[in-house]
Amino acid sequence: MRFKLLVIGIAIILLPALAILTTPVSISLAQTDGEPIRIEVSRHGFNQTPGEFRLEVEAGQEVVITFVYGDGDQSDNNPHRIFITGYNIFSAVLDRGNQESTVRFTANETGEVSFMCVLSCVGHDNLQKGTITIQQATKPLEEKEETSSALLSLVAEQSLSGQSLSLKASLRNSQDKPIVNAPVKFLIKVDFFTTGLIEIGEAVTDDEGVAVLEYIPRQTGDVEVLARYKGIETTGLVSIGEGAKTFYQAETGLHSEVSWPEVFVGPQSALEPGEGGAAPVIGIRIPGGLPSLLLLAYILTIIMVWSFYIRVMYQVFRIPSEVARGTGNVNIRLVPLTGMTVMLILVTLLVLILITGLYSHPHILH
Amino acid sequence: MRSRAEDYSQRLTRISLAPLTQTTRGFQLFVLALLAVIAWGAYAYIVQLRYGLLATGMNNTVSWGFYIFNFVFWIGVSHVGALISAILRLTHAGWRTPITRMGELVTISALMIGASMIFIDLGRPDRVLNLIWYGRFQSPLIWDLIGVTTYLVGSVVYLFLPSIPDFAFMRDRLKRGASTLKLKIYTYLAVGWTGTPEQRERLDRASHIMTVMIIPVAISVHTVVSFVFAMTLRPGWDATALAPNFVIGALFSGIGAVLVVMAAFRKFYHLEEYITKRHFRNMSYLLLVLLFAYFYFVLTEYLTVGYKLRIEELHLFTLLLLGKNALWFWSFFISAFVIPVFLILFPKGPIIPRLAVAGILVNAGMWIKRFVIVIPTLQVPLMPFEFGNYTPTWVEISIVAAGFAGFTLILAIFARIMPVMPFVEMTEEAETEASHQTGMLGRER
Amino acid sequence: MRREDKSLTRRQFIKRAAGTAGFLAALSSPLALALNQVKASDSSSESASAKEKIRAWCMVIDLKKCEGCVTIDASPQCTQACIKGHFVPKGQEWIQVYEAELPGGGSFFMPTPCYHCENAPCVNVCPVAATYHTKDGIVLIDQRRCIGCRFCIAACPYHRRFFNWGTPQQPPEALFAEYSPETQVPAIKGTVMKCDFCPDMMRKGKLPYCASGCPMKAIYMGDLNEDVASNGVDVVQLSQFLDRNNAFRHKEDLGTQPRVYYLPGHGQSFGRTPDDSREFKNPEWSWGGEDYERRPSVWPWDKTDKWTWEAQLK
Repeated sequence: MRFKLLVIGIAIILLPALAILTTPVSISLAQTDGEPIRIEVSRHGFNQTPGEFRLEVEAGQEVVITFVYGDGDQSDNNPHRIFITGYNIFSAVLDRGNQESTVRFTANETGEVSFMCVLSCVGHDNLQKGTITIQQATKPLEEKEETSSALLSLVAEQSLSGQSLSLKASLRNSQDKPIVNAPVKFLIKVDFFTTGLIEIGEAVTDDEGVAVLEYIPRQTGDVEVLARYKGIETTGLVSIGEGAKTFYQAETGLHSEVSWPEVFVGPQSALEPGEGGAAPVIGIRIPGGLPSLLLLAYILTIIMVWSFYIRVMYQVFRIPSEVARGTGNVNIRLVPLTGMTVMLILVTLLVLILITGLYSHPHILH
Repeated sequence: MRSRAEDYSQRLTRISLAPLTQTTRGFQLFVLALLAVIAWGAYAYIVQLRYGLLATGMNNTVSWGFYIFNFVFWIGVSHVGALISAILRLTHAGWRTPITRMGELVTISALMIGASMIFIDLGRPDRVLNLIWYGRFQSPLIWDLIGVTTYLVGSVVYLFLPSIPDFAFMRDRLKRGASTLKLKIYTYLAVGWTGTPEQRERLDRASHIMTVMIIPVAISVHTVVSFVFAMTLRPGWDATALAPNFVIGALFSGIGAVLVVMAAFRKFYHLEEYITKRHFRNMSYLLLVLLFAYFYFVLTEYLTVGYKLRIEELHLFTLLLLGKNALWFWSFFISAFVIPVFLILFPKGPIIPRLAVAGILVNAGMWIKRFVIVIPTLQVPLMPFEFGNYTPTWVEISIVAAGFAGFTLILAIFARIMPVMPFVEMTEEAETEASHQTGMLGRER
Repeated sequence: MRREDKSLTRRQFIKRAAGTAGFLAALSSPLALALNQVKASDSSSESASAKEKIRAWCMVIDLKKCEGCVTIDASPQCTQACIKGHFVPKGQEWIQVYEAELPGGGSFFMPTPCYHCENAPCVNVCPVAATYHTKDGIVLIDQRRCIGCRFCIAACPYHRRFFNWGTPQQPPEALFAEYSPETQVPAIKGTVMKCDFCPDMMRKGKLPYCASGCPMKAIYMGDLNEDVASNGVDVVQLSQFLDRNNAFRHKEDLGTQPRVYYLPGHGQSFGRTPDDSREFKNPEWSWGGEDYERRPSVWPWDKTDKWTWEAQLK
């Protein structure tokens, strides 16, 4: 009997310990009075966590953090230096020679500050998402209850990109009564070089506790949407089909109502840069709209000027008559003939240069 | 009276043809000296090809230097042909006949040197054909290419047309025994000219077309050269009036160049009887008019910009008028405007040396002005950094000197293969005038 | 008389035929270039282009976070990362940190990459389309086509283009890479280079070298089409980010429509005040010699000039 009690007692003691040990300790730490918070800084992240690392402290207290160098198992030195935003605090450089650095500050206002490593170290990206959340010392019980037991549900319709999407968040408290006039934040999960949450808007719940946000999504595929109210959040998945693809249109130049499409004869590959970003190739291209008038006028002027040259050469060509045929078997018209040929070649070349255009501005095309 | 005209035409023919058949020791030495300068310039270019444009003084801030402003200078000088041959012909200025061919020769030589300057400036001259295969019609450099080609071909035609009677004369002269090669060349160039009224009419028609055509072509050439600068967003270049500024400046420096060439040919080929003080006086009036016109452009440009003083233009003016480049700017001003005005308006001393000096000073001043247009603008910092610096190296100086030598050499060679004055035309004009005076005591020419 | 003129001898006929043929041959070569490419496959797969997202790249630089790397006592890390990643020839800084003045007398640091302007003056003036936009709005240079006329350098109002005046000084490993306009490695003598927003990295989902190299995470890469931006740590909605932080573009009144936005600041996120007198350090290249900028002197016989031809050829 005593043995059983002993086992139960040990279990009662051990279970919470187990719970503490098995929960991923590194996700969030709360400050215990008096003791500095020890955070290991290594290439695997803060306390070996590559992702978000959260620290919770209470406002008004002095925060003491000791950063510990965790890359001692490496042969190469991997120095780190931690910076805390908002309070503008740098730790000392942590490396093999200096394994610990303690910083202290008094957390004044509630909110969030970040801390990160500011040196180019190995595993730099794993040390960027440190957060210190400064919370209110006490919370009114009623609010706590309300918050902790409120239920937030999110409904999103299916939509196409470029078309309006309705996000509805319904907020009810523990008595299943709607919470009115509550601001609900909507976020969307985006993968753009890194995964993160973007706040897309805020809506206030109406009399039925429903907050509606109209959003025009620009992504396609399965998108994760979140709604947040105070401490609670809920996620939903929206499937966005392919609708519009272009939301931003680069524009340059004058735009007039009077416009006509351009003339283009050439390979498809001439419409944009080639493989690996290679320079665009030529095609026959007469731009549309008013600029084409300038180009056409230019081409016509060149043709006119050179046709005058050729006409002049032709006059020279006609100079020799029967009487003066030249001595021997000399072709007396050699010079004007050569002249006309050269002129024809040159003018063709010049006009061809003007007609075969290159697309240097494909970002305006689409 | 008849005998006087005959003497005149005989003398004219003899003097015009003399350079084609005789060479003097002096001339040979002169050509050798020019060839030496050109050879040294060629060596400098080979050095530049081998080591890249690092051999020049250009850098990432001042990325255009001697070559580009010399290109602008030579294209500017080339406008004299259009002015003298075309504009003066249209206005029936009879006195211009002896100097038209010199004007055209200057034009062609200057265009050839100018085009070569831009080729020398390329970082990858082996890819110059890309301009043809991949030319973009939106780029001012392509407009340059088209303009210079058109003007060069037009000038060659315009040089050729009035020379046909001269070539025919030489062909007929040579029939009395000379090398068959020379005879062949003159026969080809003479295109069977015999002087019949039909042929004259054809030639007149052709010449008239070219006269009218060459003027807008010439103006368009320097306009597109100015567009290379005016289409950028730099202080000093981003000006609406840059095109007429360049054209007037080109005409101005062209007249100066032809004045020098006139004086030189007159002295070395004994053309005193044909290129007279009257020619120089008329040319000096032209020079004066263009001087005031160009001064007007310079004045308005600097006044309007200087009144507002945008920040980058403030830097430019500080640099140009008061700072590092002030020496250049003010020496341009004095050399191109101040001294020539005095030389022209105050007729102290013989006119021909006076005007030759004025021509040299105008050209020197305009050469400096092209430097002032191109380089100080590039020195102005566009972002928060220091002003740029530019010191030309011996490679650039040698190549530019070779450009001048090349210009002179081409002129000298032309003078040896064709007469520098349209003597047949001049003879006919003299005969016409003499026949009007038959029965009167002719005046001394 | 007329008849004789018009009748051709055989010689004349052959000459004229040859002349015409020659003329047509000369005429056909540029046409052939154009027409041959028509035969080139138009089968650029529609499906591939449909799958790829349409992007409109831009960059946002948060000047509140940029302190010129003076607080960590290093040369600007964005420039260093770019130099390392692209083997930038010695002397060129494709992203360059400038110290600009504030109205009260203080200063702030402005990292300046190529702005990839929508109305790029450099693209407008290039005579051979050696510099051009991609569909994503990035301005690239194909050094295989550049003729080295440097018109684009004269046209750029931000001084962001650099010329390889001599043989570009790069590390030996650069010479083994296969040239691509997206990496610009190896550099080619006599051509122009500049920042290219690292399109090869971005296609793989990685930030450009400067953005990932910045220890303060001040550089954000954005997509104007998807309205999102990220510096590798945070993801933000681009339009809100720009407006709430009073974004501006440099020399916007020139009409170049640059695609790099600045959020005003002076490094205050890292404790830098405007009157901080620390200057940024000069970037370093781990290749190239001391003489990369040396020029010959004015006179070829100048014995005092230690510039040597041999050193330049290395």
